[in-house]
Amino acid sequence: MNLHLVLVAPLVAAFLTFFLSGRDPVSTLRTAVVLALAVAAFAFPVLAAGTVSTPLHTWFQLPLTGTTIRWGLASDGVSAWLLVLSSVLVPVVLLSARPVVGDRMREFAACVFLLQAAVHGALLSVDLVQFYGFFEAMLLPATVLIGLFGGCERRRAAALFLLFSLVGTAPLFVGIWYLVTVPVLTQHHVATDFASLQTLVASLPAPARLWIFAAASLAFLVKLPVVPLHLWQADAYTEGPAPASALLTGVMAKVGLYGVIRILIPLFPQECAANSSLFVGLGLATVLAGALIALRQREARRVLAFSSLSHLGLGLAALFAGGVAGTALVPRPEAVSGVVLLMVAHGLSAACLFLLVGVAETWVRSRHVDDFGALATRAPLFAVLFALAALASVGLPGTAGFVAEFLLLVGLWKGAGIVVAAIAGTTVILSAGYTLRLVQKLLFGKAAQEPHESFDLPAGMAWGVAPLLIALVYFGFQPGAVLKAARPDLLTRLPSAQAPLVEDAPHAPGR
Amino acid sequence: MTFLGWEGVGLCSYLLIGFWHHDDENNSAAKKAFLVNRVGDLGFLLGLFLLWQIVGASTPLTYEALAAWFRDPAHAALLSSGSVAALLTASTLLLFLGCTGKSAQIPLLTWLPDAMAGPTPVSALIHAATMVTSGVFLLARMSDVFAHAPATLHVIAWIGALTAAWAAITGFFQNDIKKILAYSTVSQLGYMFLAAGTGAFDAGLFHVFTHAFFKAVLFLGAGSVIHALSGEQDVRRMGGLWKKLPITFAAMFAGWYAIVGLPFGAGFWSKDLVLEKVLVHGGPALYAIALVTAVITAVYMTRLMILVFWSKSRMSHDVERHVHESPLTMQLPLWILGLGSLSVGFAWAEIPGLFRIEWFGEHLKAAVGVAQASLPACGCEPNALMLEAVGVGAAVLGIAIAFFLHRGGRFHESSRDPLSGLARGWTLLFDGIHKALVLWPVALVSWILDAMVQPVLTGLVRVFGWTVEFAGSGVRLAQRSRLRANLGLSVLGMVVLLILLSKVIP
Repeated sequence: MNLHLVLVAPLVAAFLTFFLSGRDPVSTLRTAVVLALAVAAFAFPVLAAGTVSTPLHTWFQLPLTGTTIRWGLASDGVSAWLLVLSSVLVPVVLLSARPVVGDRMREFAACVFLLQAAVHGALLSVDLVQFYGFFEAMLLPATVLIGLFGGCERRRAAALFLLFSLVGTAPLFVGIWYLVTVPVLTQHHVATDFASLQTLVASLPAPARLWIFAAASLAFLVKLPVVPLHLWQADAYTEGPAPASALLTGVMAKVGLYGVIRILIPLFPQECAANSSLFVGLGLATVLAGALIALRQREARRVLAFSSLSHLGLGLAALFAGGVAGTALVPRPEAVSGVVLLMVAHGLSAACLFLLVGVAETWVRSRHVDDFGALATRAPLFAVLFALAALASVGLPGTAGFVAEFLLLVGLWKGAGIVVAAIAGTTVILSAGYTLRLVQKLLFGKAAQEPHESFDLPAGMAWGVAPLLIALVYFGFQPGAVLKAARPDLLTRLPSAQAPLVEDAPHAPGR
Repeated sequence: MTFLGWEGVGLCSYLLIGFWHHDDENNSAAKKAFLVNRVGDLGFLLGLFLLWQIVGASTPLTYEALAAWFRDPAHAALLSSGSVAALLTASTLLLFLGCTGKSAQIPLLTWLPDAMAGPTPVSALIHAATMVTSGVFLLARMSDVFAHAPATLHVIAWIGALTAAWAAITGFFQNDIKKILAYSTVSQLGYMFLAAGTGAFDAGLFHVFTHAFFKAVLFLGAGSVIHALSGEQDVRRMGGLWKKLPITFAAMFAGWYAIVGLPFGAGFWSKDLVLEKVLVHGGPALYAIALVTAVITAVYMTRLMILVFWSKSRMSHDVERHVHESPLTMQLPLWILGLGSLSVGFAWAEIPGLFRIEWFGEHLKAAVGVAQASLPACGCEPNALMLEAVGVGAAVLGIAIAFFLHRGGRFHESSRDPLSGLARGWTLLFDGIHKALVLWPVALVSWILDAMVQPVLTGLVRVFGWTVEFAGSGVRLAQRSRLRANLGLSVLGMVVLLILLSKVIP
């Protein structure tokens, strides 16, 4: 029951942090970091284990319709890498949170663990209802993190985030409702685990399938997000506390992309193929608009927010490149490998950038790029780490981001042609533009305030961030470590339990 | 399938890798260098994709495999077909765009002089003499590919020639000693591309080889001068240094001797080889441009020597008192490189009837020989001796012009700003073009997105919110009624549901 440990461990950690640790933030921090490392210790074996799953149980049956909701956990290369990503980011986020959240470390750590538990649940689910539950469960801790610890506009940002997410997922809820009530119409027994759903969805009338597809797309695209559903993002990442932003973009947004790969494409291959140009268009619009808007942002974290938007958009576009209407969408292997590597690379580099900017904001007591300056001399260690993270973010060769971008562009080129690849490729130039602008504003130039204080990066934070950067460089030279685990044939396959059903009492539908 | 193309990454990453030792002082220049190179990189990447499309995914993108593929006679028919030829031309042009970025050729040349402005002469040297030549190196390594795209070679030759001429003219108007050398580098790179474009890949590489020596000695000498003059970089405030810095002067004299192409210096052999091959393969127009550029090169380099070493001192008193020769550690490389500038040309030298050394060219046969042999030539066998004489004549003419321009100690010091007047105009020409064609449109679009589209989207969300709120308040009115009415409605709803369900479910 290894997988259950991965799911339960963060929950336990949340409770332990909340109820055991005292009000003293330092001791809370220590407890939380140790707990987070313990959670990570459960997640790493999952990566080593390869494709694993727990037996599938009937969780409960809906009264009246008799629809079976199942419970099971499954993990393979893709989910395992995202699990490891979240398990690695959480301790670093906690280590970096002290200067930002101050005395309310206990509440912060508990929320972070709850968010982690929800993310793990979503990544391990093999049942649509189960997945949906965890997907929605991410919202609560995320909203609390933004609304409780953020800047002066935090309430508004949290509300905006919550509303966008709820409006985005509400149609999916209706879609699920439709799916579970199918037995009422067809007299067939229905279960909502993905393997059963695949046959069910395939047997649905085309219009119904299209509607459910649209609903599921909306849920994932809001989470990702794509233009024009991105309005919550910049506010949430800027007004929320920086460590939370790191976690939201590093882990939570990835679940949106994960949903596209593991649920949207396998369940609705026809619809994905038929609408592939729309998705490629959305992806490209996100890439370009995100990058162009990032060029003009005046707040450091807004630059990073739009940068995240732009980078993840490339992944979406590449996945859908090459779909032909009337066939089933099969993403290019390069694109799928690229997306997995992108999720890892972007998760690490964006998280580092958010965390570092967050601590720098506490130094200069401002979020405006012009209020930083000369940090290269005032905080040399910070400057080195920030410059490395920025370079990893623009995909300098030798970092994982470069390999990911390269693979995604190959996928776009093979799937959609050289013109689309060229348009998407401009992100290579634009991302260098806005990221280097940020580096220049933060690290070089003249300090905005007098006297020229110098700042010390908290040692714990440096120890936390440095391994992430080393990992980025390692995967830049050895991308096989990620790509091998995330074999394309594993991807775009529904997460399902391999073991035979333990019990599956086919209930007669209805009365 | 996942790993396909890892060789491809190896190929392109050699070009892309290592671009971050720029952030010394002038980080705007660093940013510019990075961005301009990214433009080239993108072109390179797309060119690589197109090349891949031609050779098929099963061919690894290593130099050897590519060369073998293009040399294979079985592919000749495929390559001569119209669509593939067009694809190959597009591909090679895009690859060449990558080279122009890395090697600072038109249109991506603006970053190099800026990058020279900040850092020390040593790092300037690293960029000028080694890294920027990677573009030429790439052309030579992929000569078999480029040999099948004559249209692209034509473009490369013209770009090289125009860059050489433009940068030489710009160099003439510069007043910062390092910028003069930077533009000189761009100009010499233009020669290399000109050679490669006319199919003389070996001559281009030979010029890379000799250029590394004399440009190195010039940069280090310039560093020594700047060091001696307490950081002064403006050649208009130097002069008469040959007496005070004899060793630096001797070394830079060797470099000057080589670059202007006076007999038996390194540049003499390599430049004349380039000129000869240009005449044979490229035709008289390109040859004329290259020859005129040689004259201008002699002019601006001689101007540099006059202003720094030969003319009367124009230093301020303070600076003059502190002038001192560099320590031995700085002199030693100067000696070695100075000697090299005079001698390395003999790796590939020929005076008809006297002697003939082809050591350098022989070593390149395996890499570029096949491609070169496949290219058309005019068939004429020009008199090497006569061409050498013409080259030397160009150098002498240039030197004469420079001395004439500065006769009697004439110097235009109109302003204290080293980047004034013509210097500015010439330097910023391509900056202006980039701004008008790329930067401003990008800024405009991003402004439209940020300042107009974002608010409109936000407004739409607001309208949606208000609609929901309005509808909600409408519903609230209905909710506010009596308990009895609510109960009644609930019962009614239950009844309707039951009826519906009983209809559907037996």
